[in-house]
Amino acid sequence: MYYLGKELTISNVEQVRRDLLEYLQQQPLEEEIILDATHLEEIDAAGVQLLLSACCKTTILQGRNIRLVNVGDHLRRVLEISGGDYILEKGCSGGN
Amino acid sequence: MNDEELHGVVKEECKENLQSMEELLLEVDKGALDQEMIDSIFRTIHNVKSGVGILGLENISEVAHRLENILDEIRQSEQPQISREVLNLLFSGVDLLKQVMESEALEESYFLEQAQKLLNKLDSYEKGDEPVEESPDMEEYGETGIAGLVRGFNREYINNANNEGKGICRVQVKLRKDCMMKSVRAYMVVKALSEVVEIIEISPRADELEEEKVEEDFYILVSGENLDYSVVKEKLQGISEVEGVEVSDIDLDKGLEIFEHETGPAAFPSPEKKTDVQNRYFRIEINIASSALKAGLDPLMFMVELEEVGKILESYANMSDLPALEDLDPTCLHIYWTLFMETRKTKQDLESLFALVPENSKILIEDITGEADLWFKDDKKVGELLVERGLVSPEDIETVLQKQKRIGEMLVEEGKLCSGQVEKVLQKQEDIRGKSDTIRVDSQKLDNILNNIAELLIAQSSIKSLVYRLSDNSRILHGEIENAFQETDKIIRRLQEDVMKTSMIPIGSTFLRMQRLVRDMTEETGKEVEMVVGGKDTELDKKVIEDVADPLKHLLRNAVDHGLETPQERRRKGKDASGNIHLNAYHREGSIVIEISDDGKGIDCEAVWEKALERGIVNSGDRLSEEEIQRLIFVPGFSTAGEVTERSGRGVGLDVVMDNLKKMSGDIEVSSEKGAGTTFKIKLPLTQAIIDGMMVRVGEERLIIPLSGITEFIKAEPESVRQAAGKGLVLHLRREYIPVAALYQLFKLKPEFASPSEGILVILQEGHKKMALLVDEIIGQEQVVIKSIKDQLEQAEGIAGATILGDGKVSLILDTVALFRMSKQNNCDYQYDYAKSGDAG
Repeated sequence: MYYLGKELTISNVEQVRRDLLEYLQQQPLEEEIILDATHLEEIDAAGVQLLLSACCKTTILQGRNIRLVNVGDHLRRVLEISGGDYILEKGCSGGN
Repeated sequence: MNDEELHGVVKEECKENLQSMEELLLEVDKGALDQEMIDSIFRTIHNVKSGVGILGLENISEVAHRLENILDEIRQSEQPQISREVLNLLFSGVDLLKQVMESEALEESYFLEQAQKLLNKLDSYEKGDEPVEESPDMEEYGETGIAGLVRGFNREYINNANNEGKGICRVQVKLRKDCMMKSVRAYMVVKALSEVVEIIEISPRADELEEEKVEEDFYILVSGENLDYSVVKEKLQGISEVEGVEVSDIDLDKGLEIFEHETGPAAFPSPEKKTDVQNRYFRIEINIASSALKAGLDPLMFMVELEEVGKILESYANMSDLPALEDLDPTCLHIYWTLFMETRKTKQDLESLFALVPENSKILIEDITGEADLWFKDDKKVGELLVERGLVSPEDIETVLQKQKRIGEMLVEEGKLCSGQVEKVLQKQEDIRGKSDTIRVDSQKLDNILNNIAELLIAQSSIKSLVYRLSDNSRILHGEIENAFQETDKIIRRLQEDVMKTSMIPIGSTFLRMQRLVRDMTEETGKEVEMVVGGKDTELDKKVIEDVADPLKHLLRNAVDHGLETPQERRRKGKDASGNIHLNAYHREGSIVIEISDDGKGIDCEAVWEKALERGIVNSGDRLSEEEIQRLIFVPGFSTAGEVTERSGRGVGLDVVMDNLKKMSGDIEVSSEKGAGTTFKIKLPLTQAIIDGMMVRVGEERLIIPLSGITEFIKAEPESVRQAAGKGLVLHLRREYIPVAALYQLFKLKPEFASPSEGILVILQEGHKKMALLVDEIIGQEQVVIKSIKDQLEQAEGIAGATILGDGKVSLILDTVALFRMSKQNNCDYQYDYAKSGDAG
């Protein structure tokens, strides 16, 4: 389980990306990766983009299974209006 | 396709659209309403209008066109609402159009009168001749309504008024039964009264009155100094359609209950007026320069701002160029968006929101209001949908189209999309379309196939008997032939099941008609009914569905007319004012069960008994269980209705229901508790064409017992069959005592064996009841084709139908449920005298 911090914006997005990559490298490829958004309060387009890249692109292109959980109402609405809501429902999977 | 075929297809499509429309209207009637629903209703009538146009029905087309106009106006309004009046107009429209579509000849002249009537109503609606404008008194109606004239219930205020010596009384107003606009009359009454007294409260509540939830009677609690009852009465005398006024004292301790309702905001509806501003639809592409993030601009702010001026209906992020985490520069923007939104703002307004976008950004705003239908149309291909939603570019589609795979799959593999996005778009498409791939087949063709399969079965059994006779001498050959027949039996059975499945349809559409019926009845009777429908997807034979509609209608009318009490009566009994009717369907033990239950009065067994005595249906000496007494309501000529109503009538009672169900080889159970309600359970065979049966012999006759009713066969020992005191024979089987009946006695046949221990006992089960039926011999299991004999043998109890055997002879199929009843009536007769016959026992 990877816990996202309180903020996921342009100010820390590169740091989070590196942390996350490091965490991914430690996990076996077949293991489902869970991103926990319990603490996440602030997010911007850069943050949304990072989540989409992780939960969709990385999932598809590297065969990783990454899932976002504990999404609060605010984050949910942000993802809805920014077209990222499908990562909430079913997660993403490649090629089916 | 020739004209006739084209018309057939168009008619079918219109029917489907009308059914969807009716379903949606019923939802609206229940209080559900959102833009999507209105749009869907609009689409359905729009489609019907086009269909009617193709069929060349000009006048009918006019009706559809006018209904479409009304809906268009509603859907463009700021706060879409469908008033009861409009709803009724729409329902009438659907009814008329349905009739037209159902008619064989499509001859417009048959419907001209009805169409004209409806057009007149539409005229007066469009001219604004709304009920509220009928009288000059109505000027204020829209502003304050009835609620504006009512003080609101307050016990303290009433007590104070009483202490101050003011008079307080209850005015009961009776409107004529056929009064068309009860809410308006109610308003006129309250308005007139308010000129001479103070209106404290009304029952039903003001908002209920305004929504036409008016009984013939309503009550007004008024107070005033020197209250003069005759003045109050006089004041209301000139108002038309008021049938009676009664002014009476009121008991301040007990009489106030009916007025003591919550006076929340619902009682004072705010007068909201329609505005002329229309909702518009936009497709917006937001493609912000990739450097924007670094410059401190957050593209999400545009979406937040858009949300503030309207509603984002759909939003899609195009991730074609978004790299995976490893290669991602998260400070550059790699995604762009396509949004669909609904707003009252203009295109310019929206453009001004994007004044701050950096250079190299691309914002495209497209007004799609006029073509919203096209955007959400149901026949688009996946690729088209994805491009529209901005998820991929047309080039992406082109590239992958070179390869021959499913487009969604391919785009996912290419990393242009993720499967979630495809699903989201497809879900939208599915929502709009609401159905899967189907082809239309004339049901007659299916019937023909089933009939041919039935003939095939008969032909096969005659071949069987011939071949068996030929192979009598060779045991090996006999065995092989038997195997071969078993195989063909299996295939025919599979074929039959498959064809049957295709002719099975969900009962939902019939239930929809029933909902409509109940709705219309609540309008007529003034009763309030909450109807819950379950098991809509339960499938059964098309023919069964058609035939079951009448009995269902009858039972529902009965439930509303005689089962449910009036709101006042219910309140008095401490029940909710609105009654509940549950309609449910499910499969059980190879049959389908349709349940109709209400929480009304229930069946009064004493009253039923009295009436049955009076009509000579039972004798005073008869002893009947509660269940048997309740069943008496199905006996011809029986009815306990206190008053004759147009709908359920008197005399033509539930025996018609029983008759109809029997013709369908069905049955009905009733269970009821006085004061708590009644449940009817209709049990029907899944199909009426072919059943599994057991052929038995009695003397020379061969009869078929449906396999579903049989649990076992036994050859009884003489000592296990005994004479029960005062009753017939019973079989002692594994600690159970089962009544014995002889098939030869029930049908007056000549048996080979008259003694229960010589023949075979077939144990039948129906619910928890068992019965042992004496036959001479068990011949074997057969799939039999039921041939209807209702014309010839309408009254033959115990016979469900007939079938043609392999040798061309006819064999009767027994109705096991009826056998139970018959054996009960005959039980005392069947007493086999062992002593006389010389059997041990």
